[in-house]
Amino acid sequence: MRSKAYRQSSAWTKAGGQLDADSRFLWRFPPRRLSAEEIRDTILQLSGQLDLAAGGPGFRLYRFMQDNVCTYEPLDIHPPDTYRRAVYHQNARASVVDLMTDFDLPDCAFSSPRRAGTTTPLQALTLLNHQFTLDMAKALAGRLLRQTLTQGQVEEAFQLAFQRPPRPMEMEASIAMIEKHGLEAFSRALLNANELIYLD
Amino acid sequence: MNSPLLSLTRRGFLGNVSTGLAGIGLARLLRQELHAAPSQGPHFPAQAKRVLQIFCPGAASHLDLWDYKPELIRHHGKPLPGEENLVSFQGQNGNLMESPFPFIPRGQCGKHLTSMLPHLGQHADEIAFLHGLHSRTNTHGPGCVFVNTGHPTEGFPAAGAWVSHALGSDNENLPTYVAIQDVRGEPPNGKANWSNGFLAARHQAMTLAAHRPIRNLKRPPTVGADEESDTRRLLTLLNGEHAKDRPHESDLQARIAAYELAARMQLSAPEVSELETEPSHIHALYGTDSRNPLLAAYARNCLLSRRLLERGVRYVNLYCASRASGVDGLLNWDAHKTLRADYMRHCPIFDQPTAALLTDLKQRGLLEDTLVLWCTEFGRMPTHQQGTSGRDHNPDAFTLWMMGAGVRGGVSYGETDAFGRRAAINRTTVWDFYATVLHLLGLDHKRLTQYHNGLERRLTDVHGNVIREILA
Repeated sequence: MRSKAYRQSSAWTKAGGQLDADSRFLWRFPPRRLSAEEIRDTILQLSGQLDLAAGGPGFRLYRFMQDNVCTYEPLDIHPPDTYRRAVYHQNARASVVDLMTDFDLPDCAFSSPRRAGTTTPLQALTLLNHQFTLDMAKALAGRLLRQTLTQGQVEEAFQLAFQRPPRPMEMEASIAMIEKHGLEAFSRALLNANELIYLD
Repeated sequence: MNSPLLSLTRRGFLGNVSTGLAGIGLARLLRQELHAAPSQGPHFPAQAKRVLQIFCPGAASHLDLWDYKPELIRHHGKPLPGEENLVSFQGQNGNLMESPFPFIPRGQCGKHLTSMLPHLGQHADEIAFLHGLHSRTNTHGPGCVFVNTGHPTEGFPAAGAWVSHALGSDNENLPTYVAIQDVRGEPPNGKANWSNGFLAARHQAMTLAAHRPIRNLKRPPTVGADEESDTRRLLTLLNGEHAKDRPHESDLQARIAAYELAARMQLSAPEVSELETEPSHIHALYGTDSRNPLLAAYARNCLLSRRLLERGVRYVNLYCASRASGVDGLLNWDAHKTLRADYMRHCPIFDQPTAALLTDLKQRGLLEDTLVLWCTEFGRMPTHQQGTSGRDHNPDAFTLWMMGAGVRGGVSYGETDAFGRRAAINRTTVWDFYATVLHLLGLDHKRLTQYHNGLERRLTDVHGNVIREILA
């Protein structure tokens, strides 16, 4: 981590891009999308809900049923006792879990030497419409209420989500959104923004 | 040949969008990259464009549906020669047991089929029966994934995922691969049956049924239409600003396109499920109005299958029955104890709707380029289980069939021995079955590979021969 290669920025240069567009030879930090676990942890952290307690029994985002064979039914609502780091999720073979499977969590029947990083409309549907997003949007909205002025709420949201202040155009659009539809709707949009789950 | 386009790989091209090629149809290009692009494309001209795979979980008995064994009738009640003390999956076997249902000749070909499938028998002249199948496992979970993925352990891509990987989508507003589970629940081993395995996540089946919409497809009820469109507008603005500073990152454009595609799917997917727009004679044909709720539910899924295939879905995996239940034979074809009563329950549910679906595909000309597969995980014993009138699991013999695009009808390939105990002549594997399926789709099963954990993996593992005898 102290090496010069590791500490490079992800800034793109024309010369580098022409030689090695995929950054295979690490001429820059290769920007990447967060993994499934990182995305869930990030959303929980941003919403102020992440339970950092270490150890203890894990949690499940599916309902386990056994009638001769095992069946795993993904949960429609993720209760607060699941708001832990995703490393504590009990991954089961042949289970499909909203958000996690969509964002390329591999089937644990196999070792997986490399994570895939696909981009699909299913991810968009889940992150827009699953109750988890709505719950987290509500929690984030509650967190933003610490600020009394709408402008302050937007500034705080951008700091929390992107670690930077909003640009004037973003500020204007965000204020309009909050005034028309409220903080939860604004938060739902932030949770779906590219900037939240791409690392560069 | 000096064109920069030709000298670049697709990946390289997408990585290089900054160099000036970016502007031209980028959105469309990325959309194809996301969803519709064939990863490999057919290897040679195809007979079939799409696949309907009907799966009856629970090990539907070859001896009581498809594989007529006069010797079994003649030797009913006598011991199975050479295996008088046979112990199989659930224990001790009794003597030979004829099917409780008579077999009758059907169609021009005169194929003997069970009298319990009167509607399906009308298609006897179009079906190629494969009687020589045998499996590696006698257990439902591994058996189901074996027949769906070519491997008895979980974690491998299903046939539908391989086909999605190879051929991509025909309709970018709908999923490429759909699994329709029965109203009674998932098949044994559940989602492993339609998994993408180690292929990209976009190749997993989307699960959908007449009784169950696509998960997370609908806008939440608490979000109004106006709020939704304003949310999308804000999101577009945020993502646009973010991408503007990073013009070289094609992933960002791809995710913007994925949100657009998701919005289009929100419009097209519900339309597919609007079965009430079908005329009443079609509903009557399928039996969606049946007083038997299980028949009606399966009939609606059959009708949904046709609508999906018609709109360009590449691979439909349709289930008739569900997991193995603690109560034998209740939820699926696993008739251990009371075969007669169990199949009097299951056959009518399966018969009319399936036959109607085949008829409907044919009358619309879809059978010309749709390959239909009928599958189950293994067969059943010619003997009864001791103390019962049911049959135990038999991995050594079972029947699968196919029909439609490129398949000869009214033929049977492979035979079991006199009692149907073991595959005997032209013994056939699941790998042969899929080598043939891929062949009909214009794919060489040996060339459709994915490198994973040190091996070039295949749907057909390291096996498989195309069954040329059943090709039209």
